Amino acid sequence: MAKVRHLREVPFVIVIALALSLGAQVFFHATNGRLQTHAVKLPQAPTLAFARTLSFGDSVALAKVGMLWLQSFDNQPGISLPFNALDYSRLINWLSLLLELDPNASYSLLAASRVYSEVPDPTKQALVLDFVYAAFLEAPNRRWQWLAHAVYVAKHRLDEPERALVYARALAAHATGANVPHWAQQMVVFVLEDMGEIEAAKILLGGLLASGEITDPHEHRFLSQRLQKLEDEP
Amino acid sequence: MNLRRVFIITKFSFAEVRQARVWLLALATVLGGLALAEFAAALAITESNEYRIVVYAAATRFVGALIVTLYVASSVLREFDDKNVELILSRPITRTDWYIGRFLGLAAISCGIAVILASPLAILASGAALLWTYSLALEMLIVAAATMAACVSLRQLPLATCAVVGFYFLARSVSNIALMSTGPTVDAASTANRFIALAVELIAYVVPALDRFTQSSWLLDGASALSELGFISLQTIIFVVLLSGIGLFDLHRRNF
Repeated sequence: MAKVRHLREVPFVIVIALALSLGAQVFFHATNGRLQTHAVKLPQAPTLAFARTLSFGDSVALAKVGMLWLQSFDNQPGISLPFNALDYSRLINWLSLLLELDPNASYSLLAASRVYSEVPDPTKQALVLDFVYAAFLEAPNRRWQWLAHAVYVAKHRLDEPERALVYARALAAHATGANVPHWAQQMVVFVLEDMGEIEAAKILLGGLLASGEITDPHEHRFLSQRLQKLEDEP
Repeated sequence: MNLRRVFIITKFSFAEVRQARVWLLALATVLGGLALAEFAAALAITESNEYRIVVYAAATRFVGALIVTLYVASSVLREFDDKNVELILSRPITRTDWYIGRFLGLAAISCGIAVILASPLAILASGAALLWTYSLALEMLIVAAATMAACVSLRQLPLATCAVVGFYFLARSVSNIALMSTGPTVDAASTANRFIALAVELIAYVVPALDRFTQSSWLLDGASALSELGFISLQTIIFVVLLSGIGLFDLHRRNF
């Protein structure tokens, strides 16, 4: 006995109902649209303890999914929000939470220093940069590159050389691991030079060259020329 | 279709649910949801009542869908496995009578489960809870219709429940998936990406927009729910008819 009966066993009214409802569903989707066009505010970040509970023991997985959600928050269904419309204090809370859930990941720091710091609002930019600075201090040798970018943003985008100097000094003082390139530690010299603090820059650069830490001959020659240029300045 | 026979079959569903003690499971979910919500509210630094409401609503909504799926699947498949359907169909009852009667009973039970699960929100979120409960009941209707159609078509408990759970999560997230598939971070020049975006859009045409149902935000801002009332009602009618059509089509082709 066949497992299925012939198609003609299906009452015609059922075939018609099936076809009509399928057509209605396609028409309904096409006319009503699936995308909502009202913007939703970024919610408050939960506490770390609650987020860990929600992760059911896999906080890294929750952090990864959470970061994707946060990253796409500015692209809500049917609407694309400018970063400026986001509540940055809440955004920082989310970034901090996600970083605490997955401290070895650098996604939230990358998003902060490279994406969210691009907003044309000095207050919001400063909030993001301070978040990167605080995160850097927790693991300087692993997170130095994000603070190095923060130095650039503070100096050139935010036009706050004092803030850039704080970050650059932190880089020089704390990012001392073998994996940290010398240029990152030398940023303080260039910030000082831009600020007109020529004497301080000369002392730092001279000290660096004398310390013997610069082993690459090209880098040594470049920095020596730079020091010479500083010394030649009136 | 004979309405008197349909309602007799419906009554069987009510008799069965009393034995299955599914109400106890719903009440246990309410208690578990309240405990979880209180825990969330205690941990929140601010907006603790909002945390209490949203956590309860979100948790019970998903557990409710799971309860309805498992109950409907086990109930319908047991009837097939025990040959009760063959026995019933040997009487002067058509396949359409049995299917519609069974679905009406299971739909009423699903709505009852929705009301039990949403009842604490009448105190926690006051007036806004009414619209939320209505939407949850409609959502449970779609889940019940999908489960019944899956049971008739797939005939295996693991297959049917997995299919319905997959359908449910897809229906709740397909809008965002469609948006992400064409978002600014996707390379639109890539053929694979264009194919994926097209496939997602086509799927979205034949999946109900469950992401617009039973939103937790309605409990915090009741006004926004009113604008969705017509949409979710019409979407439920269309999709329940579509799913019942699929189930009836497969039931009529089935050879017992």
